[in-house]
Amino acid sequence: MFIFFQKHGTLLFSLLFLLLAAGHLRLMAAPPNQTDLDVSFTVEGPVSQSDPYLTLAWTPAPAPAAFELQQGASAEFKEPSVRYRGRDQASFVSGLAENSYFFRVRVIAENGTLGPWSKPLQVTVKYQPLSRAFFLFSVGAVVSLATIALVVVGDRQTRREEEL
Amino acid sequence: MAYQSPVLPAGVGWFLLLFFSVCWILLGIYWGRKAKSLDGFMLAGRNVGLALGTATVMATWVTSNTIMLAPQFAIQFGIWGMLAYSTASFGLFLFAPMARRIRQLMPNGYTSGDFVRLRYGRKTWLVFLVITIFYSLTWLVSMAMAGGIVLNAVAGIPYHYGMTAIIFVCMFYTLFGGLYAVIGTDYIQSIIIMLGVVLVGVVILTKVNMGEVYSSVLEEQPALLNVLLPASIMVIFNNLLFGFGEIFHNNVWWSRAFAMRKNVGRQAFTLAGFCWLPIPLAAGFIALGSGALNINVTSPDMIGPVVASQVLGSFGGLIVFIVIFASLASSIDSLLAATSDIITEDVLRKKFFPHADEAALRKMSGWSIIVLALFAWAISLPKLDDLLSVLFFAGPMVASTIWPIAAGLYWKKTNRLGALTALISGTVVGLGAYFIIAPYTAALVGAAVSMLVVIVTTWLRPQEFDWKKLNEAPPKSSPSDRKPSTQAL
Repeated sequence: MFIFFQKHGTLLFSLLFLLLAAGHLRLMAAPPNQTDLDVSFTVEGPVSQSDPYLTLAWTPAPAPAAFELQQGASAEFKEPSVRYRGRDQASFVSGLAENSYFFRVRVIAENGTLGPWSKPLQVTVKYQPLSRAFFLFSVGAVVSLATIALVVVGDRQTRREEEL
Repeated sequence: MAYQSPVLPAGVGWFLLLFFSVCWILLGIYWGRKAKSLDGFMLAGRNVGLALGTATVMATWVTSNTIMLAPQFAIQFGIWGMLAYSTASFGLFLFAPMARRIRQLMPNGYTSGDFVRLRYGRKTWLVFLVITIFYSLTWLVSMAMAGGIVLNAVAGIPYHYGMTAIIFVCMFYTLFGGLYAVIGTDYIQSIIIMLGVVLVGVVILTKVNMGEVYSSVLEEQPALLNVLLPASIMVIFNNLLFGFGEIFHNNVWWSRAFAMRKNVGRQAFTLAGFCWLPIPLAAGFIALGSGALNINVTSPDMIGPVVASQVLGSFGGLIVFIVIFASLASSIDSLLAATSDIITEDVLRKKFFPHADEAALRKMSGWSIIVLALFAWAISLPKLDDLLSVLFFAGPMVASTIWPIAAGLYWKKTNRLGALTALISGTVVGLGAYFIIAPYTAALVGAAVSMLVVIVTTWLRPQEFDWKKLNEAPPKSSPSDRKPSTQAL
């Protein structure tokens, strides 16, 4: 037995090393745990708002990863558009017309593995009434013009008084 | 804060931060040699000429808000938003004749608080002090936060380190040099800002196809091109009136009116308004190109710096870093100086130390700069909210001061009770609008209510005021102090 090891020790050692190395590589390349690929938005839906913009943020992944954010017209995401793909953990969305929008996000692991989609987030945008907007615009215009008139007329009067 | 990929290596960011910090502190020490008397420290000897006067007004008004909020307005409210932000220059135009009037009525004045106290009495003065100190601190905190946010986004410097560095560098050179250092560094900063913004704007125009920008916005962000977007329509005059209120009441602008030579103030403020006007338009345009360029931002206040950095690469990141540092420093130093003037003159001298001489007041001014910087730093540490939300909250308070100040300068018959009621009712009703309608309506509502109260009370209970009462004697000099400087800056 001992002679067997003496003669073939190098070969055996090399085989052992290769087995260990292969095992280690297999461990490194093992697909991420299911929990590493889970992601969710930081806000619970559905969201209703009057502003045409919002910031979508999602929980960070524990391992280095990228994210994919999609927008769809329904919760089924039949024809989704990709809003963002990259390492940022939030995305500011603006210019939204009055409508209902659905967003979902997923992790893209370093080795390309795609995580499951998050629960869809529904955002409904309904603007403030235009009548209210025009009313406030008119009020603002009156106050601004009155202020300008106060300063301009006041300045002229004081200059006239100085000349006298 | 959500992760946003930096453009510059952290090492470059740290080097730039250290380099500019050392330069600015040395400049503060150099100019501080002139700031021996109280007038020298607080008002640069009341002898600032047209070129420096224009530069300091423009540089102070180009805050990080201009670089960051103007694009934010564009990306949130579209075309109207971009134009709305530029209306803030109207406040400078309107303050130009007011600066002349202030200098004429108060040749020995120090602060806007002095005016309110002498014009309307102690009660109104106390309410005014609460408003102006609260707003100044809000503005200071927003600047400190902006510094931390931008340094983190552009160069990966952790938010707390960047914010701390910006605020304490400004504290040190303001402490050493007073308003001399503030105005002197403003001159350099205004050149940096104008060159930087023009350079970034021109390069972006060469890299961005206008047709693609339009198509992208039309497809992905259609509301930005909607001229009937309710939020945009409401924000136009809200921002204009916010600008009026900020400039009319804040001691940052009054201290400049007092610091400039006679008859310079009017021209300086007018010229500065014209110099400032294109900057938010250029900054706003940058934001609209983000969609066509496929650039993601994690926070709306970061859209300007991020787009500029990513389009121009490391060179753009470098320019953005330098421009932001210059704009932040030019505003933080002004705020520290002007707010410490209010605290020293209106609170400490008037309330606690009425017999303090110039040397003692000079020391108090220095200590109040330190306390203000520490306070702003502490509040900025948790990074509470995006910049626009922070400023909108202060809007109704600021806007409620417009008519008490303007009418107080030109109308003899505006009375104390009217001014006090206008400040309180404008603030309360404006804050109501903030929570019930939208944050971007609060300043407009506050200004409207305040105006109504001033006009009605002036008409119902006119009270004759003697303008000579505004010409108050200055504090006594101690024998060891030099006389106020007659040398131009």
